[in-house]
Amino acid sequence: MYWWIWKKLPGPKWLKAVQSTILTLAMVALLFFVVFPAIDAFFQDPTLG
Amino acid sequence: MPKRVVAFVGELLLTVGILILLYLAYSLWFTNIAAQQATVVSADRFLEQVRVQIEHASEPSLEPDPSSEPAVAPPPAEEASTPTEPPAPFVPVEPFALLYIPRLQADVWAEPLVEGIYYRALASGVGHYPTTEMPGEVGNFAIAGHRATNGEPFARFERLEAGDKVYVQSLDGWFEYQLVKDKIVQEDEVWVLADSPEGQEFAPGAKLITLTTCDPRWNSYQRWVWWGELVATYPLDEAPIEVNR
Repeated sequence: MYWWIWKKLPGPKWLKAVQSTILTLAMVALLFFVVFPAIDAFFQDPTLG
Repeated sequence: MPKRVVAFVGELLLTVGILILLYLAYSLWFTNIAAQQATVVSADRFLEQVRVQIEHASEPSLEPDPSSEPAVAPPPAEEASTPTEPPAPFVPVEPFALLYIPRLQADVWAEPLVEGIYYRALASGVGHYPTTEMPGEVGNFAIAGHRATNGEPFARFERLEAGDKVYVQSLDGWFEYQLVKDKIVQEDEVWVLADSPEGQEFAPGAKLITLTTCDPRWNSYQRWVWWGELVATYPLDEAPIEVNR
């Protein structure tokens, strides 16, 4: 999967590395701002902590 | 087994592991950043309402018609879409009052008090149990705060001692409570929120405050409860403490 993405990315290695970093950061942002809050809100558990 | 299948399963497991670690980072670190940022914004907005209220009350003669009472809530116009606010990952619940606990200063200083104890409310500050009384009323003003994650206003709950002051600043004025006693109970022991909690020797007409949080920290199978009694009230423009953070 990751190898497949790496192969699909265009340009030389350094450019691939830059693109991978951007993709990773975008995924983390998506998780932190959308996915994880949605999971927390779904469980609606005010008793945690 | 073909090599590609093994590689795929391996990557899948790695991904799941990374997702779990990321969720931990989100829960233990990021929710605090997000909640604290949001509470500072909503507390400032409330303090602005307080300022408007005080100014409005101090110069009623300037009003063209005296029928508009100073008790009327200030117009919410100034809070309409302020684009300078830092972006918050969630929309906080607006506070009806602010909480100040000198013993927990920095953690609980101008901490928004919001209605409700549901998930988003407790991420917006300290929540008020909707079935209990409001500040200053006869009965029990009961509130709940996180001890870990989501801003964790009560992270240092164990520092509280009998005699500690708890201040509530609402648009009706200041309410000064003094903590009396504490108890650790099971999570379903809602009797602690009663107007005169069983066996706790509070007079029937007492004006109580009840602080609740999770115990032990990072867990939620018990609740740590502190009760206090109202000892004084002050007009909004005669703050008993220095509000500055």
